[in-house]
Amino acid sequence: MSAASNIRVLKRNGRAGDATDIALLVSTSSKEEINLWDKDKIVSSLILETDASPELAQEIADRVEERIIQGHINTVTTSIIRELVDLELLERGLGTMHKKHSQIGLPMYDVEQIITSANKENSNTTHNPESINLTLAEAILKEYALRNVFSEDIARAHMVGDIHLHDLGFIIRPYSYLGDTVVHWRVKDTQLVFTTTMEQLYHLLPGETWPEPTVRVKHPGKLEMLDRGWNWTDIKRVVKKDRLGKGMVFLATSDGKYCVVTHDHPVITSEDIKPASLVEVGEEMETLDVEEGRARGLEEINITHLIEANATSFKFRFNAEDVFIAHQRLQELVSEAAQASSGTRTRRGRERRRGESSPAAQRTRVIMAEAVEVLDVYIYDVTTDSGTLIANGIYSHNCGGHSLDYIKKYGISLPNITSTSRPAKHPEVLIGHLVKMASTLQSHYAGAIGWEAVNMFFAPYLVGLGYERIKQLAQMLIYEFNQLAGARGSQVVFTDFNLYWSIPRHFRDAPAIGPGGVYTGKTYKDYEKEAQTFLKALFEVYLEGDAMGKTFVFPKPLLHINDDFFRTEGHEEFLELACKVASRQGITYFVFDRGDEITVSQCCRLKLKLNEEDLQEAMKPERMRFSALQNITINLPRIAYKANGSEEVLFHELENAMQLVAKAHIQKKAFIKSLLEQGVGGPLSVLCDAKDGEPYLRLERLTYLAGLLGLNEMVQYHTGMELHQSQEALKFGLKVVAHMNLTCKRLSQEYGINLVLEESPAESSGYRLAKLDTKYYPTQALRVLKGGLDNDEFYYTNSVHLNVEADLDYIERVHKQSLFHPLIDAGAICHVWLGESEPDPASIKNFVVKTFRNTQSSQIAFSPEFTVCNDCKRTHRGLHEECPQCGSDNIYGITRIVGYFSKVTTWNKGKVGELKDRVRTDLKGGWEHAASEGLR
Amino acid sequence: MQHLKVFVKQDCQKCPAAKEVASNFPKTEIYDIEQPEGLAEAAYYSVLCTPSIVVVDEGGSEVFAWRCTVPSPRDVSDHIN
Repeated sequence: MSAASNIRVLKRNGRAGDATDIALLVSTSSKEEINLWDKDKIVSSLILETDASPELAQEIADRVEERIIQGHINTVTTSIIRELVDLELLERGLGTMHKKHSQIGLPMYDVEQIITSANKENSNTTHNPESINLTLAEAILKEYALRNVFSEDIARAHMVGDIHLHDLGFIIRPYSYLGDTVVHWRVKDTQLVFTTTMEQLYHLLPGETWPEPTVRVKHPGKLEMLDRGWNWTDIKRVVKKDRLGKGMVFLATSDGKYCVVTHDHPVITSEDIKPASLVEVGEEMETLDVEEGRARGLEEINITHLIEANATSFKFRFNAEDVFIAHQRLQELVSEAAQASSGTRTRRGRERRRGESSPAAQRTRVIMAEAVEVLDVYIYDVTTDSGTLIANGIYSHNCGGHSLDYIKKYGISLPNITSTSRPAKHPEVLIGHLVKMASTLQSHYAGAIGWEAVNMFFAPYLVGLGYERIKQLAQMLIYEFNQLAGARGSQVVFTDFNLYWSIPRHFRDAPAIGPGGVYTGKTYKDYEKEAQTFLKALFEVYLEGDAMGKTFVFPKPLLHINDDFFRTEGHEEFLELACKVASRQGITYFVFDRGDEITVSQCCRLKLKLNEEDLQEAMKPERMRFSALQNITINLPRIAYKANGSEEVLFHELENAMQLVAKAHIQKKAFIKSLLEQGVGGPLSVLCDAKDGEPYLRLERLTYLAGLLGLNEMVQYHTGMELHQSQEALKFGLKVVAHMNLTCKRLSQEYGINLVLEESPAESSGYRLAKLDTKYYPTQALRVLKGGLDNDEFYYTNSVHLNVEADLDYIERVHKQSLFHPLIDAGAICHVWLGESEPDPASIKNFVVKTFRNTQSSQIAFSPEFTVCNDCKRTHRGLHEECPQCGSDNIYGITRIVGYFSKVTTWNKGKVGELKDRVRTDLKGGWEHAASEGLR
Repeated sequence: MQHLKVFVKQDCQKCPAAKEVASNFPKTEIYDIEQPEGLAEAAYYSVLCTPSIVVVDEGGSEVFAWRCTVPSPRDVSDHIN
């Protein structure tokens, strides 16, 4: 008997399935069993997993066997065998093979810690079986991402704390035309008109970018597209998207025109703009005869037949027969449509010749509207300045729609829920749908889910209802969201509600959807009163708080303040209410949209003024606020430590860090793309739902975030002064952020992604990075770290904020921090810590209005502190050691950690340290004082 | 002594006119907001578009500003000591 035959292989864990078995180097899948030693399993696993040559695999297996025999080990676990194999790979310098072959797991001790003590990474997670599952899974997935999604330099930068890679999150939005849709375009202000298909136009243009894994975009220079009534509209961009199996609809009109669009594509009829799937025969549409352009002196070049359409459309998934059959059916539809329309067309043609000079728009009827099977892999869209264009001779739309409207219109039908609901007829049902949707979305996105203009979208359901009923609905909506803790590790679903007192301009003329998912025939501006009543009711509920009078945590109300707000009747009274809520409960977020432009939440004028193209794109409200975004935070103090006083090195290191961030985003994008390519059968099926293709969240494209952390400490280390201590320090801070802003723009162009700065909430990453700095740069970090160094309650100041314990007037603090906001495109906030004081709502109102008018602040929030007693069930202001009412110490504190309220007991040490340092204000003293200091 | 800070960028039609106006005054600093220093300075004075001219005092505090417009030399004279 050989020595090897004495070895027993102990296989732990009951993981089943082929992949698992292979990974474990054993072939059976019972719970725990002893297998006989079989060296060949090492060989086959190496060949399969690492592409090793049979010779190399055999050599390594021999060596591993030898080691085990030499070590007189009689029983080995599969993980020890794997480690031994890995060791052999490393000794041979086979790093790549080692990476592919390595095992991801957790030490026993770590698992025990996770089970027995709460995870404080996010303070809205409680300790329960679901959160334990989440933490365990995250530990594995984080390691997988670091080893397999990102390259080694980026993984290393994360591990040593130069940067922090935040959770995954992404979004897509495919809806469009089929590639053979004919459009007419020309170089701006010239007479020569080109007629091509959208696909041809796309392929004629240079400079492709990939803003999303399934979306490619080209930005033409000075081209314009034929639009309604022989007008021309600038082409903003041409988009090519993966169709992802979306259903298409064939529409034909009585004058012989037809087009094929995605079933949800907005189609313009004389009464309405509606998804193509809802267009019915007999409805009126507007078309245009392009031949008549000659009468207008336009010279047309039709090159649709000259350029072979890109053949790759078909090559992936289909055989020739499928293609033939699908084309045949399409041809049949086209000829049926032509026959049905011939009579009408001739008659209309004659009439027009007699009338001579009114060639512009003509009204025709839809004669066919039916779902059609196509095999195209790609779909196309042209974004124009006007939002409309002439496609296949039909006056058409290029985009539109909003998430809550989506639910109103289509009801709920999700891949992971077996039953399907029709569109809600009653407001209560709509709330139910919204909650379920949010819950599903939370399992797909890493961060907050934002909902646009919630009060406005609800308004059509509230017509004729009494105030009491409306308030009951507001209460239901808030409670449902506030207590929705079923998703992802039993976290409360992190929800933002964007709310408006006046109907936002971009929705004023949008057709409103009402009960049953049908258009009401009115536009949203007609529902302003109901929207306002609902908004008022929501804030009254926020004011009252929950059953114990404590503040709600979610949904966060983001109240948009813009010029229209102040022009709309009743705003004074409503603002008083919102400020009363801010003073008493703190939950109001005041979001400032300056200028008359259409903006949604965090738009930033500086960036937009600098780049008109950005401005146009940010005007699309659906782009904003609706997603959990990928973020990578840069550890700014670390850069100052490395620079050691040299400005040149500092900016050089900053550039390096930003390059790393861009590179990490690109790698992540590639990974997500590979998952998306699995389509509806893959892990992200909700996001490429073949029935709708709509991910419900309307991001025009992915935004990639570069987060900021510890600017104050960076500046302090480099200049010797903190941001609030001198004008020079503040200006140096601005220079760093300006540099980062410009670098983002350059890298965006270089990599074809939209990279922007964000104030990272950095709830846990701030602590993590500070802790890593005490390890790698102890002497430097100790000079600038804030908080308690001896009890581990240290921290870096958040993003670009000023030191929280600086003895500064709150006005000066907001003024100075706001200077950074125009440079931070993806969102910035100023916090005003109230502590136990409950300022006069009039002071808050005054401050909010002045902040809107006199600063560039993007957003402010006021944070009171509360103590809740578990015994007497009362809520008191301020953080106390014991209940002021009954003296009990069975209490807990609540205040805002970063962007939301949570129990102080769930905070990580760094945040506890920050809380102790925060300088509170009662808002006494006013702008007179500010004026004397030269603040505008 | 008060002086002028002029914020410009390339591809800005009115910027040469602003520079021209500013050239009539002895102490003038030109900032290109497409450069980090210029953008930082613009953010410091809440300048969100070009051309803009800010009159500042010795301590660097804003005395008067024309944001997104070009003042006449007379206007500037009226606001500068």
